[in-house]
Amino acid sequence: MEDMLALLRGQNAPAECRQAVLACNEASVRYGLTLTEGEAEELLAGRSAALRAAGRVELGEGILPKLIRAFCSSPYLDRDNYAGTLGELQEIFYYYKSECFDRLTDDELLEVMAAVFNGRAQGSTDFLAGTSLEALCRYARGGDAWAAGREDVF
Amino acid sequence: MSGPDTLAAPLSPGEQDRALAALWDLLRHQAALWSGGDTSLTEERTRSLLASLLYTLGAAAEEDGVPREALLRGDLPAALERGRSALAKRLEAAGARWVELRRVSPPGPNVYYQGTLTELGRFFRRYDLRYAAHDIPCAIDYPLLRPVPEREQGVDYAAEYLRRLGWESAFLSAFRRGTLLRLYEREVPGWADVPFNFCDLPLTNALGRTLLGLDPRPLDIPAAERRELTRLLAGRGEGELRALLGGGAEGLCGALGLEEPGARAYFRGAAEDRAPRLAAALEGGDLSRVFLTFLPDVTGT
Repeated sequence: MEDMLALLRGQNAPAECRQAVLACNEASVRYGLTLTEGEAEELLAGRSAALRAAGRVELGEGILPKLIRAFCSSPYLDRDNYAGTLGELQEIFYYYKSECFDRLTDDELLEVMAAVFNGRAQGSTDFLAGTSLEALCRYARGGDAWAAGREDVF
Repeated sequence: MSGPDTLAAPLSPGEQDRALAALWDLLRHQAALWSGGDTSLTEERTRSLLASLLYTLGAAAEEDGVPREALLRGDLPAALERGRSALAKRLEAAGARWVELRRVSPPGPNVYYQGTLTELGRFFRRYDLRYAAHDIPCAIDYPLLRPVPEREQGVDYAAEYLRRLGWESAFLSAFRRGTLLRLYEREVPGWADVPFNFCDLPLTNALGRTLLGLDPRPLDIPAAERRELTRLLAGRGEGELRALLGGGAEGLCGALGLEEPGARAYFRGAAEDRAPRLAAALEGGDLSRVFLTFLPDVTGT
């Protein structure tokens, strides 16, 4: 089973994923932010490492396009920190998706991340990961509707 | 045009690539359905979905009477649906067998036996044909004479367990309940609360009586009969003992009216399994812990 899954993972076409990431430039360019091909490759390499670290498997183009569209409008992103911050956010996403035992959907987690990043965290991924998401996951693991702990999260 | 030889041939590299791509698509589709459209799953969940797919495709291959490789050349989604239909039929048949077994009382109350039957009922409620077909969502603690091989999965494991439990139940029904209970009371302290198999001790004694040409039903083996068994079996190697016990099982099944070929093979195997222990006891010259005396000696010998 281990070998079979490793074999199948190779089917996740890198070209398809890269195209999906670069296609997001059409939406982000209005905020003055775009990714070069090199930056897209780095993000995808980071994606593989982050998935392995979080014990997750992506079966398709993955979370990056959604993540880019959720954050490209952030006032805390600029050309200098855009690609690097996306990489950190990607890592944070996978980590907390597992920490919450998948109790939050992709969209729910992205919504919270974006709201906190642009709000209380003021663009700090450390604050986002170390404070609010920890609180979010406590609620999610405990089975409470995560919104019950809004004050701790937001 | 494909024929049997084509179906059985190993996949070419090109076919392997196409098969992997088709399997990946199937897994992606399953993952999307299971997760409600999320982009990633845990590795554990992904492996489980994959195991379920492979097990179900295996069921399709069995139903079609073709090797699994043959399916990988064809329409996998269609094969998956055929596999699910096949498993659904097996589930129904196993469910019917469970209902039958619930109507049959074991020789006496045993928490592991009762608990396992209850758990098997839960199996049918919890079984997830779509996403975890390979899984066995229940705790099965009552030990069979011969365990179901661990390679069996999902509904096939449950079905085989129930089949064997049914054979054991038929075996036990040949003996008087009072006789069985006396045997258990003497030999298995607290038998109602420990994981022991109802057939184990009766089978050995019944085999012993059969080898002596006696009616197996009384079960008890007095000292005189045990001495005769020692004379009969002494000096034989383990292989010879296996053959004798296997033959004894055939005779025993005939005497008890157990005609089903599967049952006969099962008890033959269980009998042969006793050869090593019998050989060791013969070496020590003492069969009193193998062929048991549990009734009072009324003859005064």
